[in-house]
Amino acid sequence: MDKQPVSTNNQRRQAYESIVSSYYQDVYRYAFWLTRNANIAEDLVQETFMRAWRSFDSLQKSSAAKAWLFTILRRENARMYERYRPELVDITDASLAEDKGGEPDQFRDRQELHQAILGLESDYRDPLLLQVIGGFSGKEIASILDLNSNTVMTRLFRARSKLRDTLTSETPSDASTTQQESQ
Amino acid sequence: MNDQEFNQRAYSNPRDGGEDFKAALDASPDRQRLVSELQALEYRLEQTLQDIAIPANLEDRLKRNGTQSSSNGENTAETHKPVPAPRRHWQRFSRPAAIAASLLIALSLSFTVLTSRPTAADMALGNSLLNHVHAESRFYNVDNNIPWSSASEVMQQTGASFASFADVANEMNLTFAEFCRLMGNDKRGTHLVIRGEHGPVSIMFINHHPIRGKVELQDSELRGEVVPVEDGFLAIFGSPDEPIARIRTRFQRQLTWSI
Repeated sequence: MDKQPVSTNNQRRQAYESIVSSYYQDVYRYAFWLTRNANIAEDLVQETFMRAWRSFDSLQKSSAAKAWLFTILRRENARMYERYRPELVDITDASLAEDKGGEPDQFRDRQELHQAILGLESDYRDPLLLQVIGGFSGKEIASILDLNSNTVMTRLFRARSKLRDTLTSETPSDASTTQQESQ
Repeated sequence: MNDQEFNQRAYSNPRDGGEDFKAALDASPDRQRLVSELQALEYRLEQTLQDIAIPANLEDRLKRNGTQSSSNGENTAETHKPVPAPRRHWQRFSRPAAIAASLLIALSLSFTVLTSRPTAADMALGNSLLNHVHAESRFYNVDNNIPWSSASEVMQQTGASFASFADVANEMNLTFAEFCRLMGNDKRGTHLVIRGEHGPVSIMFINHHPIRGKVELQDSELRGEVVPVEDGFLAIFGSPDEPIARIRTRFQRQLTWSI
């Protein structure tokens, strides 16, 4: 797969399928958190891989495939869905209690963390998702988000600081107020 | 490495494996405690973000999209539509972690859900209509009214009519009525512009192009809705402050297809 771009249709298809197998799960997870809707995420992933296939020859190195796919997905999301204004319905209701089963502590933890993640501003949530789901380095995240690396690291710092504050009601030690975002 | 720099590194990446970071970590029990707490948070974060149920057969469908494209010759994906997802959502929970995944899905739904789901094709249509309105706006004559008979002529040729032209004419001032290539070169639709409360409002409709459901869109200048009307659709775009839903309702009641 490292010898891309491949020259024949067969090789091209094999390389494409290899990339699908390697990355489709992470791409879907990222799409899910980006859109917060399983069906839209699935459509978005299909569009992403279709566009990836269409421009597959532009992928020079297989090692860059994952970041390339995430970049395509973000672009497709912006193109197709960011202008979509869905009617949002808050259904934090009793239906939760029916699903929590025998692990109430775990359920509460998940609920708390889930809310905290969704409560982050997208400027902070986006790099965090890319780091945790995608496993990208600060430099790769900077490239995907078109930011400089310092900005990315500062946003990651703030994202975790906010999560920790929310979850523990404790202010992280002496650094939280000293960071200056630079771009 | 001072405490401030260490904290920034620790929060930015609790799993930082750099030698300088490790050395700084070993030098202070407080730092070790902080990193331990951050790594515990990181573990929970990873569990929550990554434990998402992957749709059944998604991998196969993604591969098939590429295979179908290549079997048709070269890059024919431009005209290829994604393989529809199966509607049997319960089949997606096939992993041993299905219970946890179900829990997470239930959690995600508990906070915010989208009550309607536009398809990718409907979203693409909505975006193309929005772009069309932007592109055409320079042609609008928003200063002078034109007779509703102009709209009637255009609509007749696109197979559309109003139940009562008089009612529409009494309620709204028309400033623009033209055919538009709303769907590329395949079909002609009607594009009307009326004088709204906050500027021009575009009304577009075309028959024989069904959409699955309502799509709402907005950018910095326009807000709009696209709704199905029998086998076609009706689209309304205006200023973000415009009462789009009210206008849409009026036209929805009036619009009929004659062919």
